[in-house]
Amino acid sequence: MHEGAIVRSLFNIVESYRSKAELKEVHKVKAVIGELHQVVDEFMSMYFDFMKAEIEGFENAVLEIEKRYPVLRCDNCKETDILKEAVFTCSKCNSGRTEIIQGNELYVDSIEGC
Amino acid sequence: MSKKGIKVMKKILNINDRIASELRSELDKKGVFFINMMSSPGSGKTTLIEKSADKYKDELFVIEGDIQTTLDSERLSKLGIRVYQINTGPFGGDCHLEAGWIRSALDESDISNVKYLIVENIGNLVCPAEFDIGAHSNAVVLSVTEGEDKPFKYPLAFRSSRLCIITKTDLLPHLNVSIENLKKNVLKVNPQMEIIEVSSKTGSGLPGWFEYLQRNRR
Repeated sequence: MHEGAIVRSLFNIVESYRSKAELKEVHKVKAVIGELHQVVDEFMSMYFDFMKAEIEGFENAVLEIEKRYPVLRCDNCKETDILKEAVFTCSKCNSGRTEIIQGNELYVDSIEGC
Repeated sequence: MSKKGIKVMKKILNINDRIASELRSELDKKGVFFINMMSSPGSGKTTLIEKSADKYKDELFVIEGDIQTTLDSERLSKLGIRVYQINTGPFGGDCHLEAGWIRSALDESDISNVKYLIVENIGNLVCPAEFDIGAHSNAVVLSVTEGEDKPFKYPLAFRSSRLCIITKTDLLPHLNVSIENLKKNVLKVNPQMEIIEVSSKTGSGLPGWFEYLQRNRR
């Protein structure tokens, strides 16, 4: 379960921004996670809740996760397609020269607090 | 107290990625080619490295990643391969290695005259694929006994790799597995993947693995 390591890194970022913004309390952390990452949202939330209990000012914080579905663009025929299964060749021309244009995200979007 | 919203837009694994990138540059300067082997447990990673000992032991450095035990590093040490063992067990039992682990291992190791660094990541096709550990090439190792469907079940491991080593091909006559279907499935998930088929038991395909190492020599 690598979600623990991901949430640890998330807290490092959030703490650094919280300190710069002089927030006493953090109410919400929003993360954007592409579906190509094999991350289980429930485990992310579970680790977030475990770790927030150790940090002052996070008592009421919630983790909001925005998922992004994967989108593939073909360099050959320029077709853009939503990926429904793990097949990364072009559904129109079968070319292997494709590029993921959405679905690889793994970042902290924003934090809210006071 | 007034409510504040702060836009962050920062990659969650940015520190890991920075360490990984520094490692890659450093190894480039030292002329070391770094392969990160990822697989499920028992795919034959250690045996393949053992079979590389005769040709490469003087130029090879292996970092073994395991949650518990030093069994794999003992096997390699006996053959004269320089090896560093990481056990994540005492540190929470992480199921993957991160770039920081590799940084620490290299800081404590003498890699002079090394041309190839191989990390045997912790046996698991999910978690290791999320973390860049500074390798020039990720290699996903898949034994034929695992079946044809694994690329679809664990796409990130196959997407994040440049090389797929299909092992234990000597067992194919005993299995209801088509190596052609398996290779097709690998290429559907990663059309750019280079594929090598080997049997460490019979030696079949090992020259392809040695040629890969030779071709990527820095």
